[in-house]
Amino acid sequence: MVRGEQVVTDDADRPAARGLEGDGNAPDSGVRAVLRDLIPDYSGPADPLLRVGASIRRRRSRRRALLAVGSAAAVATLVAGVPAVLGRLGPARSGPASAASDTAPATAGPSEPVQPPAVHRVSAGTVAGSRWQVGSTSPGGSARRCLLSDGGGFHRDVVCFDDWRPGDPLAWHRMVVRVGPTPVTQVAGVAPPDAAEVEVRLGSGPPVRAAAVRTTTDPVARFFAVMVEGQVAVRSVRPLRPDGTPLGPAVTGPVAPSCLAGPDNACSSSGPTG
Amino acid sequence: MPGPTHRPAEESFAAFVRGRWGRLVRLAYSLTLDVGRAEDLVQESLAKLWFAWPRVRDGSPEAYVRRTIVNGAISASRRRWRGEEPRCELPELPEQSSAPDADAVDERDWIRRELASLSVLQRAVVVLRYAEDLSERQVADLLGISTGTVKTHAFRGLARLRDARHPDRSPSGPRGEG
Repeated sequence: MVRGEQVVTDDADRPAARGLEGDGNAPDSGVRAVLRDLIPDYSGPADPLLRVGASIRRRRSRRRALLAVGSAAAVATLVAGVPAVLGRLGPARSGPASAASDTAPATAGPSEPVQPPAVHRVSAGTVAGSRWQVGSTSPGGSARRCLLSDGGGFHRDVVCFDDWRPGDPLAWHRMVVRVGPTPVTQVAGVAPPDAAEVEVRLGSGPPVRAAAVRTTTDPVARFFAVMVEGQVAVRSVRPLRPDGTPLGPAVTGPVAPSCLAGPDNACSSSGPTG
Repeated sequence: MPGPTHRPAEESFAAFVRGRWGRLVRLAYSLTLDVGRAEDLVQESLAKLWFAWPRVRDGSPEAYVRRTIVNGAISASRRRWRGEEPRCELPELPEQSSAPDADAVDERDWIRRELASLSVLQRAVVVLRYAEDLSERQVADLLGISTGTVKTHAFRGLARLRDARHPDRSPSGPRGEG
């Protein structure tokens, strides 16, 4: 390849836009414009950093867990290997099992204790072979109308709906997590006080219903949560009366939660570190 | 994760996420053709970027995250349990649109369908080459394939899109290949 001042002689280095004219293998501007914006109506979440922050916290938790397991295994291997090398330690003090049980708690132990706020049961079940439960909670500060999820790929993650006000339509949020290799989709939110159930219409498969539960966390809102296996799109969520008739319109768009946080992060911060 | 003394890193990352989210979702959508999957893909890719942020923030974080998105889309398409489902019947199409921008909507719809019929690798080549405006060499490096393969995929993919844009025309010939 030979380059002059502004001359590029090798097609491989030429961006497509520069080679439009006379290049048989280039789209016209119309195709290019459509390709660049296939979803012109897309607006996105109010603050994408909230979503990204949640993923970062999940990844960090996984890394810590892997690190702890790796450290324990390394120490166990080391301790098990020492007697073989030195030939001094007696059988009572050697062996991988005892070494692992001695060291694992120290390396894999829980982080500093936190004062847990009261959590009131909203929903529970099993998804992808993992038991999950969701409860309502008020972690404090401005975060008062929140749902805490545990199991089923969650690790005491908190999502809050403090922007919801009585009289507002239902508000929901979708989150995809993993149980091992299996993706799991959670739809959770708050419904008006007269709602008894919610109907979640998914991108594929039949609608899913979940109870809209009133707890002592909030005197007005009803909380709900469903978990389905797979990475599933959500078409809409509709509140239902006790007799199963719709209570207001189906809500097609998710809301940006006022807070997303993991177990070791306060809900008052929205940055990547929680 | 950096502590409070690294606040500028967090701020620059936050600005990057907020500033690029829409564009990255559009890129991911052109690969997955599903808004939900596109958002999830971008979310996870940006989360990965955070852990590499100290290394790449002064280089080309956009290239890093673009590579992650493309690799993620290709990997996802290879998994059987989440693979794309080829359909013999197209979804319903409006007979005649009367809205002012109906032509644009129809064209977008056709191109979207033709993109869906391409392999994810072919789709990635077309999108990276003509929507992201990367050179053949850059696309080849990003996807780990030869520039010749890039040219082939780009030509064939583009021919499908041209035909989609002008469905009444006969299919494009092999002009300009190579």
